[in-house]
Amino acid sequence: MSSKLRVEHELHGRRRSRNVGLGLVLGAFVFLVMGMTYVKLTAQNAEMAAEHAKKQAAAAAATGTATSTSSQETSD
Amino acid sequence: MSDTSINTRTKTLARAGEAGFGDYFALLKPRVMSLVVFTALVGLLAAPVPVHPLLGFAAILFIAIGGGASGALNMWYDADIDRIMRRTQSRPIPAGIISESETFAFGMFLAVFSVTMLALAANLVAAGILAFTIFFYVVVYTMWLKRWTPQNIVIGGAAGAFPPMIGWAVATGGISVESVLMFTLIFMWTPPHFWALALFMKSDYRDAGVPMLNVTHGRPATRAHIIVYTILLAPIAIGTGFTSIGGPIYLTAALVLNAIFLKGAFDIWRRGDEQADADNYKVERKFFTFSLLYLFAHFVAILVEKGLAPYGLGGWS
Repeated sequence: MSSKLRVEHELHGRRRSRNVGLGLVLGAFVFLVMGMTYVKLTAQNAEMAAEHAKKQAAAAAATGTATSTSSQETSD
Repeated sequence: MSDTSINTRTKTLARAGEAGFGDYFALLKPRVMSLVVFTALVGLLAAPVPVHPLLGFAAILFIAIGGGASGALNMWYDADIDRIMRRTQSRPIPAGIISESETFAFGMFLAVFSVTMLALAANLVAAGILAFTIFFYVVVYTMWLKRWTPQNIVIGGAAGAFPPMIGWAVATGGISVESVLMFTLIFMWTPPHFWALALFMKSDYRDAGVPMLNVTHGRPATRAHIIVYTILLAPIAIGTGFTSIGGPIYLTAALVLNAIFLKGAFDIWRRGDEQADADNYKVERKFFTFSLLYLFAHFVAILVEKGLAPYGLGGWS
């Protein structure tokens, strides 16, 4: 003989509220960390890109100066 | 044993260890947390350095969790007096819903978590001030000063005054005159606010053995202290108006608010207990309620100045 145990108690409602609440909090935390990581990496990438562009511009300027100097020497 | 007491006992036993989500949330002192969130947000928004909205949101959230952790640790340590005071008897520990050890573990976890996450979301200065705030509230105020000296609320008030400094540090990575002034505003506001409450809470603190000023030095001395602190508070509140976070709107609001606050403190100082008993502490209750509006309005005025600045209407420029 099998009988299903059905437990209906206020206690289960509270336990459910705690579990659902904790689940939602953990889910929200995962998304928050994802968002924070994205924002920080994007900002870091933008910084690195700006720095790289600055370095390239400086290098190009240096090369340009060197070229113009050498062409000046040739003409002399 | 009466039926009522059996029922209450059964209910308490049934609830023990099976607290709902809301019971854990209640451990964080949500009302105190709302003040922490608001003042930290103002500190963050008033700062001259913009913060990405998501990082700002995360920082405020972790500051709030840190404040909540202090609240939970305070409830853990003060469980014995919370059982005595009427105002605190319905808190989760005295009500038998959550155990003391569970509250301690919960508070400690949230404290470490909030400081670590704030360091990652913002910077080490902000995280350091948050860690110090939690330490100050739990160890210096709750464990040491609260049960030892009637000046408990004066020094302990610093814990509640740090949030705008943390918000400012989130944005700027440092401390400045403006953030110190916001700290001082809350620090000086706390004693008159709590002493007014202590005046009409009458026996609660005495029954619990908490040496509030009205218990150790009597009510006339408490009334005198309220007016002295209110007088000292006014120049700080008004002086903030002349810094970069102030402006004409803030200054006007501060002048009006401080005039009303001073009038309230004067009325409290002038009257005695017979008069207060006769009208059920009407003046003290009014002063206490107004003190909440007082602080809120000052911080709103700072936000208004900041909000109007891009249109050339806020601040002094």
